[in-house]
Amino acid sequence: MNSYDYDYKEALKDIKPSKELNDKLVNDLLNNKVAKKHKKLKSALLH
Amino acid sequence: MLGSITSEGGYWMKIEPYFSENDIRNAISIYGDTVYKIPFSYYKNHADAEDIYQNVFTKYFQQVVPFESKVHEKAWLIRVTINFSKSLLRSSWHKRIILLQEYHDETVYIDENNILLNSVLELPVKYREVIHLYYYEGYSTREIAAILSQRETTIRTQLQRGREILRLKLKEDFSYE
Repeated sequence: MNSYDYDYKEALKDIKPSKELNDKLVNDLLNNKVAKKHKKLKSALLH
Repeated sequence: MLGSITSEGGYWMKIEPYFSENDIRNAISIYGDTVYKIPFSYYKNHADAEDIYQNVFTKYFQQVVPFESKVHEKAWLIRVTINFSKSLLRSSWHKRIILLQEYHDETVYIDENNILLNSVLELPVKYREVIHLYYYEGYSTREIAAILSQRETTIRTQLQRGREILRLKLKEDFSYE
């Protein structure tokens, strides 16, 4: 590929998660069942 | 929590059964790009990449088994991302959606002038994933073989064939210019 003076990494540089997607993911993870499950587990372990 | 070193010197993803916003943002900043680009290379669109991205990080934060190292952690994330990507690719629901999209010619969300990226995305999946892991993630053929649970000779052959297809494709594209 290098012989064509193109770089695959460079070609992919703009393909990335948006800030909105990351904010949504953070919010979902903090509020969804995963967090609840871990809180429940923590509570069970502590009491 | 994330990235903590245990007293035994091992690397643990989670010690406490709970995570904070900071933990999530930290993981996203380290692995976000990697986890996003893999499904994009399978589906060529942001909608599917976003779905898989969220599923992978959800699974990551459900994971309570310790990682041996950062290298192990990243390889685990890549393997899970590839498994999610292949799983969606195989689903009958997704095949129907793709057929509909192709009918309406709405599948390509990338810059059509980016000849190299388009050429890679047009490769059969088995070549595309090896090319991506080798050129974008910088893994060796031995490491790719471990991640994909295949023999190293198979990976080398796929890399060689993928490069050959790309070489011919790019030659063809440039010959028209």
